[in-house]
Amino acid sequence: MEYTSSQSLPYPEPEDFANGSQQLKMLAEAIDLRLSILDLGYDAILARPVVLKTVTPGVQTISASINTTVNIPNTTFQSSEFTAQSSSTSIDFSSYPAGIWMGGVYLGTNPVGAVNTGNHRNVTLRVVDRRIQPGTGVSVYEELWDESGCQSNTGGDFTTFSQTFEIHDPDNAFIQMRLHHGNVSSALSVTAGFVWALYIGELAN
Amino acid sequence: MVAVTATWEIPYAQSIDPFCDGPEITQALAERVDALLDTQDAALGLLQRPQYASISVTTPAPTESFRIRYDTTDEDTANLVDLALDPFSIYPDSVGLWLNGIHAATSTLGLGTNETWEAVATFSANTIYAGQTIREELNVRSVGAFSAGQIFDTTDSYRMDSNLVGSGGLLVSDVYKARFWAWRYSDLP
Repeated sequence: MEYTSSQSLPYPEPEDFANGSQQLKMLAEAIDLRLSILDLGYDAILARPVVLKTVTPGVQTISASINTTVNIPNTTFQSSEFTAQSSSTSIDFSSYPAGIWMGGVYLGTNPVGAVNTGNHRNVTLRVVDRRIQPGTGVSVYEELWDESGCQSNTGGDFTTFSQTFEIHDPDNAFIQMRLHHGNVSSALSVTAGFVWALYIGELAN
Repeated sequence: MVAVTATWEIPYAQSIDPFCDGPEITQALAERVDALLDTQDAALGLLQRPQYASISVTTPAPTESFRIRYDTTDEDTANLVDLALDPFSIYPDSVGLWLNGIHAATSTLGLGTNETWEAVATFSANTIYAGQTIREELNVRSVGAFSAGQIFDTTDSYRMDSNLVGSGGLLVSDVYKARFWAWRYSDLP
């Protein structure tokens, strides 16, 4: 028996072709197995997860003091950034694969930001993951992206932001949608809001 | 002449073929299928592990000629980044349609006087250029941009980098945090 160089498909040598039917059966079964493996791969691509969570409009009110950041939806004032770990305000990755993801947030509020008054709002995609620190081998929680976002300070009533990110440890990873109030303190009513994430593909290692 | 299938040109034996040609035809069949599977594997591999890289600024530093200098490679699936040689850029490794995006923040807060920052995700050749200007006010200090471009060859002139420009074309003295990413999305149309 001989085998092809790359995919190791069997084929008979001349001296054993007398047993050709058995050899061809082995070849067919090898092809069958390889095609099944390919099918699994394509199925995984076609089933790339997309996650979307929405905020219920009109029900949620966001309150915060000047220059503070709160989870959405979350009416509880956060005295400092990144202290909240509430699962109700996040997308949990424990049922999704590790890999490269893209995600974003969108938030509409009422009242709108006032023109040129500094009544701005920053919306933030906060990604928390646990990865091995390069060079140390130590496993640490890492906030992959923060202090980011777009603002609504010119009379607009929505903010949005998106970014790619990498998830290394899905069981210990989540993303949150957060809002930073500007220099005007007020209670805001959510008119629309969602946070989303879609799977791009595998990590390098 | 050995018969082959119409679409994938897989050779097969017919009754008119001499029996002694059987091993050779079977070998040709197996090797043709082998090559076809290799092609499929390569396509599937690209879908499963896309050509993608992301780089970040983790230690605040000024821009250099408006370009953002990156200090950390977050992810690189296809050797697109070598920050030791070029700390500004991601290099595409194949022709195609690429997407990239930048988000950057400064340490210095605005003064509420309508300062602006402009972030630009750039393709250095054949660019579909995208930038974004955001008014800077108290405690708002971040800006982002998104871009798509066609890469026609992979010489060094085809690279992707990013700029951050302050009000009136001023250099940004302190890039507090930034992240720049690129992803090969598809073949050229």
